[in-house]
Amino acid sequence: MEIRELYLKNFGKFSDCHFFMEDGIQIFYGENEYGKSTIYAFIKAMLFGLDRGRGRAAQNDEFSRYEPWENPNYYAGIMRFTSGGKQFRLERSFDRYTKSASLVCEDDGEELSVEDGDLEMLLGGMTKESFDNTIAVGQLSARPGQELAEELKNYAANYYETGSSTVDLSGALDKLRMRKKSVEQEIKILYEKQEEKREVIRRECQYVTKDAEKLQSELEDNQEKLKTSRDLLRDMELPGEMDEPDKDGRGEAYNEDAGQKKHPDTDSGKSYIPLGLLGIIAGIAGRIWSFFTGSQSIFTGGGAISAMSWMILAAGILLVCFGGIKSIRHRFHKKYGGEELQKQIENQQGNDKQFQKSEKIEQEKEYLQKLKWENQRIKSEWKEKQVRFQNLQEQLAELDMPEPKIKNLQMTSQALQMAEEKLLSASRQMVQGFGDILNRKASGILGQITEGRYTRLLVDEQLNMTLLEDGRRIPVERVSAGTIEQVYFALRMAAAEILYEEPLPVIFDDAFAFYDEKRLKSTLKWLSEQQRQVIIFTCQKREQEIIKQF
Amino acid sequence: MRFIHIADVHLGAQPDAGSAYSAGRPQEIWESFSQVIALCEEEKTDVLLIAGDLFHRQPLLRELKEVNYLFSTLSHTQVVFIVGNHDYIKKGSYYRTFQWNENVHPLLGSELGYVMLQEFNLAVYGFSYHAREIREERYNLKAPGTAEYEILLAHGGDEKHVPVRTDAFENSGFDYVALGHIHKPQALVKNLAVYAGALEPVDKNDTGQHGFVRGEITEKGTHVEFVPYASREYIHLALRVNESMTNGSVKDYIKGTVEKRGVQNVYKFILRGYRDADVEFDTAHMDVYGNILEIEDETRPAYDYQKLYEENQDNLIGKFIGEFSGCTEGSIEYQALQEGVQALLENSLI
Repeated sequence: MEIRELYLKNFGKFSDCHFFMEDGIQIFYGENEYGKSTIYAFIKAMLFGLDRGRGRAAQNDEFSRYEPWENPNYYAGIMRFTSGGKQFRLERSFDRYTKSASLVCEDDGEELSVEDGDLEMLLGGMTKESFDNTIAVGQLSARPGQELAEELKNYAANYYETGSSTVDLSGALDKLRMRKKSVEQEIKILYEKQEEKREVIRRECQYVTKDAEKLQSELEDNQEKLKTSRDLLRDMELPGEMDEPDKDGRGEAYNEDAGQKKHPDTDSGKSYIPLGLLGIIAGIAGRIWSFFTGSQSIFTGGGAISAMSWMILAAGILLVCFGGIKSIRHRFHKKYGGEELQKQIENQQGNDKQFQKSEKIEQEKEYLQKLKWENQRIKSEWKEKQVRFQNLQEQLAELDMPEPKIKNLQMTSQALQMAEEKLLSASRQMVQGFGDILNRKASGILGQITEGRYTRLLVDEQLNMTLLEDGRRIPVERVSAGTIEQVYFALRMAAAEILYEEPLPVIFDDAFAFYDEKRLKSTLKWLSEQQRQVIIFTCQKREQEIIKQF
Repeated sequence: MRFIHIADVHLGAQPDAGSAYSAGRPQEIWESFSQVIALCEEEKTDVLLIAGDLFHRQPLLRELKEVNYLFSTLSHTQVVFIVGNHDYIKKGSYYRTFQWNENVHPLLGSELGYVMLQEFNLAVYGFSYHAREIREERYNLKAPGTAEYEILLAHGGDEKHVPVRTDAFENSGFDYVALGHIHKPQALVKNLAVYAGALEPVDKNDTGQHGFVRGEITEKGTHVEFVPYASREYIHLALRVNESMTNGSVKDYIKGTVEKRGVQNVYKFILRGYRDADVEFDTAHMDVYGNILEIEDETRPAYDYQKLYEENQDNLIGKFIGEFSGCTEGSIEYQALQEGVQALLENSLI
């Protein structure tokens, strides 16, 4: 890129002022206050715009500094330049009301858009900061800023010695990290799903366990009942031990134990008593009747009546016995005092008791059998639960084995991690390689402008510069002010060469004040050999004189 | 003497069969089993041989009752079975106490036993698993010669489950060896030692046809045939993609393939080959019929790493590829290389 014309329509002290430029070294000579820095600022403003600061900062910013002295609302200029063999016209208006920029290719009349980055493209992606840090060499501030270190580092990662593509390292790293994140997310979801499955089984295990526990306690209850029933049965079957009060006592205790289910008749027993009494009365009446008709009855139907009366009597007594033997007895004692009758009744009662006892044993046996069956049922149900539980446990254990899909994803995640690490290590190699190239280039430039005095310059990642002289390391701060400027210059030029393919003009604003004649001469010589336009603003005549000698 | 030989029914298994079929799958396995029983009745098959793993896990009592009921519907067929490693006879197993119908002859001992079926002049030998694993080679047996026809029911064939040597059966003297445990139907010795395979596929890796073996033993010898019977089949298909394929075309292709091979089947697709580097297959949304278990994407963006390396030797891409020199396909390193190159190329201006 070469600047052909600067037209300061209204900029700082300049108004309607044209400057034309050629290839090679262009020198703007002027005494102090001539406006060299204004022109320098104009170039920068044309290339990168001039933004107005905000608030207090606005008072001393470049915008205010170069605000036209007259007619400040007309704050504009035009720059013509060539790039890639084509001529462009860049026009800007800086004032706050008509702020605009237009870029036209004058060869084919094509309108380009500054907003869309067409100018940036022509500048090879250079930003205002990198402009300051490389090709724009100001007064006594030639040390490149820290931004250059960053830019160089970034660039180093993307550095291509050959080819023309650029890789966005941080973009690639971001992509890998994002992929990894999503893979990890997927793994998490799969794990959660597995956990859900496991949870379902665990819950089922709990249900089964609870059921089993319930069955267990049922079984214990039943065992208890079984034991009581067995004891009772054994007692009942042992003869002689059947004293009535004893038996009653035990019977009551037993009834409490077994509950109502087994002896529903105990409660309703009393309702049998009146029924029984009725039977007994009928029976006795029958007996009495047959007693009176004694002689005939033996031969005639009286026998049947007599037998029937016995039966009714027996049934009555049986019923009453069911209800409560004691109360019946008392009532008998009260109602019927006749001795013979009493004997008969007692005899009858004895028989009934015998009968009742065996029936009770039968019942008890039946009950025992039922309990046994119940026991079996509970046991088998419990076992079913146990098998089910074990099967569930087996299923759980199977779920603990990692799914192949998760394994695959884990492998992908590892691979992504590895890709990231390798990419970083590859880029570090690149930085290192790039550092070597930067050092080599800067050293070469420094060597030329110091005429071989310093031939080795080492620049580290933080842009700390060290000179190597006869194997000694000299921090750049220790050398003379002039040499420092020259070291910075070498680094700037090396960086510009590396960072920007498009040879952009180099602009010096009184940058050679500390240079001695010899060094200035070799510097200018070096510059004149470059494929770049060189613009020098100076308040001294020596540059011009040296150039004339070439 | 005509027989049907089934194995590895795995009643109670809940194999993954895709979103559409998984829920009903356990029932389908029972269905299939009861249909085989019905078939035995219909064909008046003489003997039904079950070579182990009738159940997927320890059978519950009610499950045994169900099975016994099904057996009891057989008016002619005699059933002989052994118990395999999945439902092995552990302590307290219902197998130990269950009362089978009279036409059912379980060989539950841990040592070789046999059942004599006089009406067919047949002795069936076998033993059951009393542990999850049996590592000894226990099928190097000679037919004892107790009956005219002799069949061995066997379960196993891998390292942990009675390793089997093929030649052991060849001269064993058995008329037929009904094998179970390996789910893929196959003949170790033709017409002699045969794996019936799982009646229904019970794992997503049980690909291919499943069913049972129908056979006949006569004076002339033994002849068996495999009868495909399973209601579904697991099909694994590799689909080779090329650079012209997109999500839509892959989805359509998969849909078409599923329709052609049967919507009732359950699929796993593996996408292979080189895809357009800009296309990423969204495999989660290609299951049209709910019968796809998985679509594995093994495709690689169409990069030629060697060429890329040569072109980019001096830049980051080249350096990155260089970090992986000599790594083999399928390794983590190779995957890292793919991922990294893809990320780099997606973020570069060429």
